[in-house]
This record gives sequence, structure tokens and C-alpha cells, in this order.
Amino acid sequence: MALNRSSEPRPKELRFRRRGLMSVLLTLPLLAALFGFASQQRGAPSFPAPPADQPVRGRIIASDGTVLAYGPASDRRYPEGTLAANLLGFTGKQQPDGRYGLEGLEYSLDKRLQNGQDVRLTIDPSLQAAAETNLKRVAEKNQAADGMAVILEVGTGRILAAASYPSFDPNHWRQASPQDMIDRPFAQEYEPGSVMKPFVVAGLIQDGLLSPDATVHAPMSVHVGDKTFHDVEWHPSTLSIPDVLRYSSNVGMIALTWRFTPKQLHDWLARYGFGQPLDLNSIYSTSGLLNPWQNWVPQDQASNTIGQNVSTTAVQLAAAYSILAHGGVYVPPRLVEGETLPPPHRVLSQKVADTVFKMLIHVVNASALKYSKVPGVSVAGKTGTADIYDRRLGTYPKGEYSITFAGVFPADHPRVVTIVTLQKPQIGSKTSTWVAAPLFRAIASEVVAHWGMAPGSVALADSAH
Amino acid sequence: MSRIARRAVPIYLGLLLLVSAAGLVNQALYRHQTKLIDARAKLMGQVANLRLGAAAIDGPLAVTQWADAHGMVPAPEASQLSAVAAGPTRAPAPPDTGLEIRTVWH
Repeated sequence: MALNRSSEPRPKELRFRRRGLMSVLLTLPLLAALFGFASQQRGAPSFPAPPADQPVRGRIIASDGTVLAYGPASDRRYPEGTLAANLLGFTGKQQPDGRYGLEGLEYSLDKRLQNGQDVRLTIDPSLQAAAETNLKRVAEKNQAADGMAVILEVGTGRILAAASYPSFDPNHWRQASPQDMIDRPFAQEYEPGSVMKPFVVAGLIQDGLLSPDATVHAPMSVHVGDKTFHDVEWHPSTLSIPDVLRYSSNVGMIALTWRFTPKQLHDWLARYGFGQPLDLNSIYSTSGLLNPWQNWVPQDQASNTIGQNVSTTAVQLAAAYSILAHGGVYVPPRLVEGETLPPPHRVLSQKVADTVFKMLIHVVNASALKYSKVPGVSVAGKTGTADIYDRRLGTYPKGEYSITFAGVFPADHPRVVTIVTLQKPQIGSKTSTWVAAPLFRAIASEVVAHWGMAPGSVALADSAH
Repeated sequence: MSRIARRAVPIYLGLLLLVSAAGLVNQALYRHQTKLIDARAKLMGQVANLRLGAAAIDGPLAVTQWADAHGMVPAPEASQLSAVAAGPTRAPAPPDTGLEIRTVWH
């Protein structure tokens, strides 16, 4: 049939129709194919990039496994909100040096995080929350400009909490001011005041320049060079060494400091870590300022003895107090688990450290520092109230103080050092006894509760008195 | 039209239609993939927000602040209290699960 049909003559009309149909059949699919692929090309750039294209960034995890930061740098998430925000920092667009981290650990550990490695911190979220909550409450109540709190584990150097006030939410870091983002325990140096006094006493005893049983003549004021140093709390004119610390006598300490040469005092302060860089590579930290002894005039030596004219960070101060709490051995502070740090080294003999530590227990028990006492738990500690140096004005403005409490507990078996500092409180008392000591107590009570130290026995012991 | 042309044209047409169809299917799959990627991004965003929401309820900060706001004190301070909170602390209402349990005492 087909042969017969093909052999038949085709009318012109039919041939024209077939050619037309063929042209359409040839063109349409071609157009369809062209349209299909062209539109695909046109639409492609607007499609989101597949997840595999985003660089994997390691998580930042707390000591108990709580995830503090996760997700790619372009969409970094901080599920705990403001918790440890100043420590964590945040990420942004890639910088010329290749980093995505802009502040805090996100900045300092950027390379490791970019390699997809998780980072586990020594931070305990519950203690961090306790430190932040109480610091904020007391700072707001006293209208302080800023503040910080550190909890450091004795013997290991692990930093369990490092709180800053003010703070911010790293999920919305663009809405925060630069002042809110400062990681104050590591990056803010300040003159600590009388919390330095135990270190001078310990150095004098260690060098054989002072007997712990000695007494010192301490009137209420003394002139050194062009400066007059006063004592704040009234005390007898003759003081034992523990009472020099108990009354925080500037005059008593200045009477003792002349037993040191300027170099000796300078070297002792350096041995405790003041003015020295921390060995932490995991986060940016300042080293504080310890002026060269060659530049000191007598009033500088007197000022250094009482914690002025020398600056420190809260973490440095905590590490220094852990020397007294840990039998004279300095253990470098640690923020990241597994971080390589220099080995601990001895600064004081066990006997001297224990002697001065007992003095710190006496300071809390015998003085008006009842606001630092944690019920049922023994505490060793020292207050510090210091004038704040204004670099812009080049002087110490009147009425602006930095107030600090350094405490160790339980004193019979030291587990943690806690440092709390508030700067420039505007209302209420501006002394550490009335502001910093209660803040310390509030944080320390939460730490003790967190440990689960038998509250029943604590309460019973107290009610029995 | 030659015999070769008459055989080649349908093959050409068939292949062309096949390619067109493959292109269209490919395009549809690509659109579907982008929708899935979009949906994944949205879900990840939701998960992130839910994690934030969860932390606002049971995160360490939220628990500390809630306890503080409801007059709770750390255990060591309990013996020092001379006054207690005005009334019992109300526990948050449990989520409505649709399951009701009644306890009958005999």
C-alpha cells in the first residue's frame, strides 16, 4: 500500500501543507528547547546557594555541652542569647585578613572555627548565668558605668564564668554599642586598690622581711612626697599584720613597704602576674600596667603597695588570688579545654601562702565584711576601693571609684576564686564593703547551691548558733 | 524530499522533543530543588528561633532570672530569710496535649 501511495502523484496543495506542517514541527520544539534552557539560565542566579557551598564553621560549646554558637559565619546563631555574649563575640562579613569573626572568641579562634573544629570552653553556663544576673542587678541598682565578675577554679585555672556589664545580644550585634561589646574580665584593666595588699604582705614574709606576728605603728594618715595617704576605717594606732589587712590600713601597708626596695616590690608584683601578659592564646587579653621601678618616686611605691598606680584585669587578679588559695602555686588561667598552657610554677612557699590565706579568712570573719559571708560556708577575701584614673583629664576625678571584692571559698578547702568589680557606681554607697561584698555573696551563694553542698546542714548549723 | 531526509526528520524531531522535554523536566526539578532549599533555610531559621525561645524558658539565664523574680534564694541563703515570698509560686501551665488524666481516690 505504501509503495502504491508513494507512487501516486501528489497535489500541489497537499505538498504545501506538509511542508508548512514540517516547518512548524521543526521550529516549535527548537523554540521550546531554546526557551526552556534560556529561562533556566536566566533564573539561575536568583536561586539560593545550596547549603554545601556555605563554609562549615565549628561550634562553641560550654563545659556541660550547651551550644553557645553554631551555624555558618554568614548566619551565625547564639541560642543562649546574651549568655557569655561578650566572651563569644560575633561574626560578620569576611575581613581582608580572611577572618569572619569580628569580636571575642569568634575573632581569636576564627582559624580553628573556620576549619570546622568545635571549641569546648571551661565556662559553666549556670555559673555564668548567676554571675551575669547578679552583676547586672547590682550594677543597675547602683548605676555603675560598667562591671565584671570572674569565677576561677583553684588548682586547675579553669575559668568557670567571666561576666561583663553592660552586655548585648550577639544575634543582633549591629544594634549594640561598642561599649556593650567589651569583654571586660580579659580586656579591661583597672587599678584594683586594696585587694593588692595581701600580695605585698606575702612577698615581705617570703623574703624574710616581715614576721606574721609583727605589729606596725599605723596612724590614720601619712605623708609620702607630695601626697597624703589616709585610712578610711578607724583603727587602733598599733596593728597586727592580719589587722592591717582587716582594717585595710593604707598607712600600715605603706609603713611596711619601705622594707622592700622599689625593684623588690616591682619584681614581686610581676611574679604574681601583674603587668605580665596572660599565656592565653584563645582570647584577646591585656596585660595591665606595672610601671618600671626605675621611674618610681616614693609615692609611686606607696601607691603600688595599696593597688594604685598599677593596673590589672579581673582574670589576672583571680589567677593571683589562686596562688594564695593553692599553696603558693601559680596555675595559668584556662578558657578553652585542651589548650596548651605553660606548666604551673611555685611563687610562694606553702607555709607563706597558708599564712596569708588565714589572714584573708580573718579579714572576712573579724571585720564588717558580714555582707561577704556565705551562710554555712567559710570565706577568705579582701575588699578594694580605688580611685579611677581618667586618661583624658590626666588625673583622678573626685568621687569616681572602682570597687572590687576578691573572695575564695570554701576557705577550709578552696575550690574557686571569685572576683567582682564595679566601676563608677553613682548612687548608694561607693565602697566595696557595701556594694562589691554583697555582690560577691550573691554569686557565691549561687555557686554553692549549684554544687549542691547540703543546704539542710548549712541551715541547721546556722540556726543552732 | 529525499529518502534520507524523510527518515532523518522524524528522528531529529523525536530527539528534539526529547531534549525539550528533558529540559522542561530538568527546569521543574531545579525549581523544586530551590523551593526545598528555601524551605530548609526557613526551617533552620525556625529552629534557630525556637532554640532562642526555648533558651528564654529553660536556659540558664532564664531560669536564674525566673527564680530571682519569684523570690527564690540560693540554698545557703535559706536560713537567713526573715520573710518569704507573698504567695506560692505559680508553676507555668502545662501545654494542652488533649490528654486528660483524672485521679480517683478510693
